Amino acid sequence: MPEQIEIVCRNLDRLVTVEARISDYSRGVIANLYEAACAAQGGGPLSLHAARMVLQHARRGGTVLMTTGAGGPPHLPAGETDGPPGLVVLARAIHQATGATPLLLTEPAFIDNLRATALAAGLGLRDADMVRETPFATAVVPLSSDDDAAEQAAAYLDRFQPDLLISVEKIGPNTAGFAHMASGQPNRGERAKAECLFDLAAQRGIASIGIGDNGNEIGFGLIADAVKRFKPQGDKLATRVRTDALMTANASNWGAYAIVAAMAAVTGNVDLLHTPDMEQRVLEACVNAHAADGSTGRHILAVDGMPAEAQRAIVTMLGVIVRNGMVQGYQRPF
Amino acid sequence: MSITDTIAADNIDRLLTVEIRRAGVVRGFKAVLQETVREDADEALVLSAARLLDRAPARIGIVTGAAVPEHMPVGESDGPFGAVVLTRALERIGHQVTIYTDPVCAPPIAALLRRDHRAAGITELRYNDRPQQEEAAAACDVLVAIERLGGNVNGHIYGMTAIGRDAFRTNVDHMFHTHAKLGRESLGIGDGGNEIGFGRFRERLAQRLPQINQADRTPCGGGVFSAVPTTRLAVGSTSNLTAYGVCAALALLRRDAALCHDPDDEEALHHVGVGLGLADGGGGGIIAACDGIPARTNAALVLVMRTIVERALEPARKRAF
Repeated sequence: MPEQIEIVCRNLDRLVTVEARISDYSRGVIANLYEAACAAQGGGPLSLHAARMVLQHARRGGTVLMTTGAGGPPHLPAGETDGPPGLVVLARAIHQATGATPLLLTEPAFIDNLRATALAAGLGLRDADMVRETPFATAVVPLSSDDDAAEQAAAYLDRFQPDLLISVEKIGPNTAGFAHMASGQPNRGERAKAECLFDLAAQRGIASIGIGDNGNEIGFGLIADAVKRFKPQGDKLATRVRTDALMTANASNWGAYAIVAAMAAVTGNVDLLHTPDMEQRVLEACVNAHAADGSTGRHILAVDGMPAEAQRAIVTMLGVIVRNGMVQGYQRPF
Repeated sequence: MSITDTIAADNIDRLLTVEIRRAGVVRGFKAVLQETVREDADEALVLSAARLLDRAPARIGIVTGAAVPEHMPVGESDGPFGAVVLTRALERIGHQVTIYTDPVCAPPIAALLRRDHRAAGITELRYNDRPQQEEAAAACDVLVAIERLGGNVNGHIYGMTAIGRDAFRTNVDHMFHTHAKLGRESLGIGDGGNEIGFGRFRERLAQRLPQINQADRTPCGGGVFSAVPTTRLAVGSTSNLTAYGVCAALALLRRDAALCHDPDDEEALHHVGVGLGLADGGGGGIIAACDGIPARTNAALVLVMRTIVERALEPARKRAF
């Protein structure tokens, strides 16, 4: 069975690293970053590595801090559609698999969006200090973009005592302290300094997972040299922020979904799987709450330039890879 | 051909190696299969295959069909769907297509062609009739094999379970050898290594994938891998999906997304196929699946494939942020 799970997860990885994006600066990149990430993490599959980390660290009664949020005024005032869907789907699965309470952190400008998206994934919204008492619930708390970010990070880690930190499509700074968009343009607007959380978590020995698709997101510090080599403008945008596990994908949402699928394969619990209908619901909620497609800046049902139908298709395939891969005892007789 | 199109084709190849099939049939080897073939190609396999077909109107023969008495009496769904969808694309760019198959496989394929209003005709292969195969080779400018078994080093044909098929299925090796002697080009589309087209890679594959070749299980000791080469070879998770990938690459070359297969039609094909008795090669059931992959999942893959092509064909745009 372990070999069967590994085959499943290798195919999950392979599917979510198929490039179907619209932006020319994102083409011909992700397979190279994936190979580098595998090399840096013992060979992969990455979805399996991250899933095992979740299942090892997240626990009933504990918390998992999860952050997302890319974009910002003027073009993406409420953020983009890549990030929040992946985050909430993963948050729901983590709670369902382990009983841990996911707490979501993002820029104040993105909070309403993330709340709407979380609700669509079936996560109730509660106050941060009482959310642990409510199953299938979360709280969305603000993440500072100011000089007090480090102080806030320490306060959050003290207050919530997380067992695990996860970042999905959250931009981190380069070695010079500057953050850049995937296009290589400097990040404008009020970017939350999530790196303070991850830096401090590393100091305290708290496990962390980064999920991204371009190399400028938190986690890619693990393979910064590969980002500089393979990603256009990589020398500028490669983040210095590393995580213990890194999942690369064609869209960050897909990376999160692959980890959910790997969790289902490892636990044998197909109820954890994301579904195409939930994907539709979550994406619609995200867009209705003012998020935009990150490639075009339009408020349409698309992620990184790929239509909702393609998102549903990926979710469909991830689910069948797991379900078919878990069949046991069958042997074709002819 | 832009770099964007080349990258798109690479990603179609990558998508085609995602193994979705059910455990219980051999798994975990498609990527190695494709990577081995790719070692000898300087571009994506689907693109190389499409270039062969992207020519002035020609006579193209497609050989398919994989019936197994009692288990899959009129054949399996893998092969016929790919043949019909590829025929659609080929006729759209002006080619004249003939499909060659075993008599028991002909009725469902004929029905699928009629459903699609195709002009293509069907020629039923008489069992191991060498003169007929020579005639067919002469009649085709390009030969395409889709999920069609090729003889191993000893000339025997085997399924992926290492069970022989010689007794009831026409061996078409002679057709492809004759065609090659005429100096003409051919295309293999396969998913297991035991199909027509893998001949040039047989030794490497036998070394790298002995558990798939199963030399120790085949009665003749030659393993299942085919010794019959084609000029080009495309490899994927199923032969149908690989044929759709070739259509997608043709769409890139012709800058015409309409040459791509359609996801809704993919799902419909499975249900029509059930009515025609086509079996799921993953288990032999007459169900809407191909090699154990449900219809809707195959449709999902077709949609992602088309998305890759559509994104690549979009005019370049400059993001403002």
